[in-house]
Amino acid sequence: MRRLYTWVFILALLSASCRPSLEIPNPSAGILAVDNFVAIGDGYTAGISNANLSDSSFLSGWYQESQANSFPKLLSHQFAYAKTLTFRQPMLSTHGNGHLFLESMSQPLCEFTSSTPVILTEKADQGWTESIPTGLLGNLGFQGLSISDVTVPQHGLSSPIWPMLGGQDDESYLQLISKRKPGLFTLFVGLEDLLSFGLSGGNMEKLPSVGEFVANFQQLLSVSMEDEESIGLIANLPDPGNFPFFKQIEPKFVNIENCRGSLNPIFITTGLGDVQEARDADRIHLSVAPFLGTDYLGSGPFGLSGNNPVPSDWVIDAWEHEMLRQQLLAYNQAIDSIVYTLNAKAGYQRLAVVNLFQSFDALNDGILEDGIDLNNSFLSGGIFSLDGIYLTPRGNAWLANQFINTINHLTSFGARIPPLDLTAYPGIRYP
Amino acid sequence: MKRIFSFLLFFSTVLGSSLYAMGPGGLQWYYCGSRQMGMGFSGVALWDGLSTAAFNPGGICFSRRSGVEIGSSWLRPATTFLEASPGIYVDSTIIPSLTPLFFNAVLHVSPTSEEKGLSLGLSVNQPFGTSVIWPDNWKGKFISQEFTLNTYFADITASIRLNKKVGIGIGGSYGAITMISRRALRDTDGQNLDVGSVSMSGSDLTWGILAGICLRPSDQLAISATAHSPMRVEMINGLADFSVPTSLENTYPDQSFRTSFWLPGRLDIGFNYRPESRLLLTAAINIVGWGMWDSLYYDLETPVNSLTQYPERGYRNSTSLRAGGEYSLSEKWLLRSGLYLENTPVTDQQLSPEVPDATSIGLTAGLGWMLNERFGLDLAYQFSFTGERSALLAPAKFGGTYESLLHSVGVSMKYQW
Repeated sequence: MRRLYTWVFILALLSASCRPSLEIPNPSAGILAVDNFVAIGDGYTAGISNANLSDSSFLSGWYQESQANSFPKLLSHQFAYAKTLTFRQPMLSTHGNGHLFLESMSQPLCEFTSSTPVILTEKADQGWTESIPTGLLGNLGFQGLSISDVTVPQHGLSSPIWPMLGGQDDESYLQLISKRKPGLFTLFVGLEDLLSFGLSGGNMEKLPSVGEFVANFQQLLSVSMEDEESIGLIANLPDPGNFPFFKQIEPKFVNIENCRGSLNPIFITTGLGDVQEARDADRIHLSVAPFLGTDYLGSGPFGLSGNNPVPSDWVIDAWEHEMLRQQLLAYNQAIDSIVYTLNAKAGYQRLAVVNLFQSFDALNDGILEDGIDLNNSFLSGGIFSLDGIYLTPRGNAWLANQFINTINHLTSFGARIPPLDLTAYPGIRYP
Repeated sequence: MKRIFSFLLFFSTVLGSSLYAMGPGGLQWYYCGSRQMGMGFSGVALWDGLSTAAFNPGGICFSRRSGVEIGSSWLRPATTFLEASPGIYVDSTIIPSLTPLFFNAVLHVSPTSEEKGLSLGLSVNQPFGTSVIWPDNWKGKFISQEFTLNTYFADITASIRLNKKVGIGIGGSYGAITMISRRALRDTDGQNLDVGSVSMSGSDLTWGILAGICLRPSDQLAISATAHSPMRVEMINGLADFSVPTSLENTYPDQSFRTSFWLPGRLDIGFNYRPESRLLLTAAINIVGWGMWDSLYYDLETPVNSLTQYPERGYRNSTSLRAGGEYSLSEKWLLRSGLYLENTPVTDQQLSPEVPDATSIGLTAGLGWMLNERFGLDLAYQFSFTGERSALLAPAKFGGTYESLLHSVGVSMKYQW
């Protein structure tokens, strides 16, 4: 009998607690009305990913899966730990307005070269624009929205996305937000303007003046803050010149003949029309990569000789990049002071700046989180999708965490929002 | 019985001041005897018994009879991880079934007199082992999904009784080590949401020496010291097996790797005290040279970019304190109990989920049964826990709170002549 008791005792202990249990802290929304959260912004907010930038309509990369990983959607996931909520996004079909995908990696040509990606385009679904939202949308991200557009009346005919956001003809983006009356909002605009500048190869007309930026930004804020208790997270602007689309191509090209590599300088045409060897500070469009060294655009290896340089439209030269930086720093300064003024007026912290300039800047050297290193390299960096500009699901989770960190650091919000687990979101998908 | 409890109480009070901080289940194992296990592995100075072949080379020659013993333990270690606040991510290791085996033999060669004698000891055991398996898709997958280490060693010892009070022993230890380390690879996500991973497995044969001395100043008291040398492990033909999406097979070719490290040496000092014939009290200190475990780096034939390695270990030497007791209920039945504190060799800045170690407290109980003079059975139960430990693997910026516990049972049978 004694042995029997011993065994019963041992079995009882074994089944009682096999695993330690740790007490999980309670998330809390504090003063944030997370159940009336509205995301205001451009393609980044809409959840664009793997966009085909050569698409003439500039509408691509907005599809079911990319949208499911938009940073506002991911934020709403985390908010839901603190408070029950519904967060609606426009209805999209599987391939939406089309997107890029990685078809394969080519065999490396030589021992010392690496595989190159074969990227193809998935066409837009027929009738992808047909759905009109039934309830109030949480994600008002509007692909291609530039800061000068916010006051302009929109039409379904000219912009197929507009009705999908619940916008009426002749209504402006400002009016759309004014109708929505958010309790908590994110505002991330201006990046499309910087991108247009970069994608045009440095066309100064694409950059709104600081005056125009400030005026429209203030209007955006005033409609977002119509609810007297609304709280806003205001993103400042990162430097797109460091996105892989502009940064990936090195000024020296590894030319391979018979598996012997030689370093060739790349020749570019500057904004002023000079032909010269590319320097570190020059930014060459990634879309140029497949053509380098071929007969593209005439005689002589494309981009590798002074006779057939990369045209200025596909380059932000060092000076143009400097202009871009000056302008975006001025925008960011303006954002800081607008936020400061409005907070002072409210008498408490109604608005908080999410310092995306700094966050994206850190990607230049690479960051480390949960054992993954993330950086701004094309494909392997984990953050940027196949277009080199918009983000992967992991990139979006990282971006959402920048907002969450800002919330958690501000004690006056009284919120504790659990950050996203970056390791649970994929980077580039390989076949 | 009362004295056992007062002794244990005293012991735990002494330890009380230094409670906190090798965690349940690994890496150093002492599963070489169920009698020892029942007494908190504190019987370094036990001289009468077959486990001397593993614990006490100097004491083998004092063992009353020759004999053989075979046994096994069944370990169920578990660790839970919770990310730092305000995060709410929580996950636990998959509980492995670890069953370290042991075989001990003591053979008195020359006729044992009170004064002189030569004896031989053989112990086949598993001095190191661990298996930490996290769910494949857990948050720390890029650092570790699995770390499994197995060792199988044979210690052959010659023990000489110099006189009635002093015995010494020296021997060699020879054996095998196998290791599996598995982790996810960043930037290799496949279409089906599965993450690329690499499994690195390797093995090696190695050897070391052990030596000990056993002093018996009186019939009541024994003092023993045993030293195990560190053992060099060099895996030169490890296999790195990459499972990645088809398009990345050229980028991540399967290949061989090499790695090398030291299995730490150890110094055990133990005390036996028999205040009365029915009661035996034991205490021991282990000093383990984990300081030699400074890094673990896998050197691949063709280096792979995104195989992120965090080779720094930066372990410190660690100390364990143990106490135990054995009480004879009758001729046939023996009751045992033990208590120990194992200090962790891992610092707060270098704690990897690969070996989520922490200072642990262990409680053990055991039962001995002698059928007759020759045949006996031993049962033991061990429970060990760490409490919560908040720590970081600084080079990977991966941190949180860990807590581990271990249940294990041991059984062995022996035959003496």
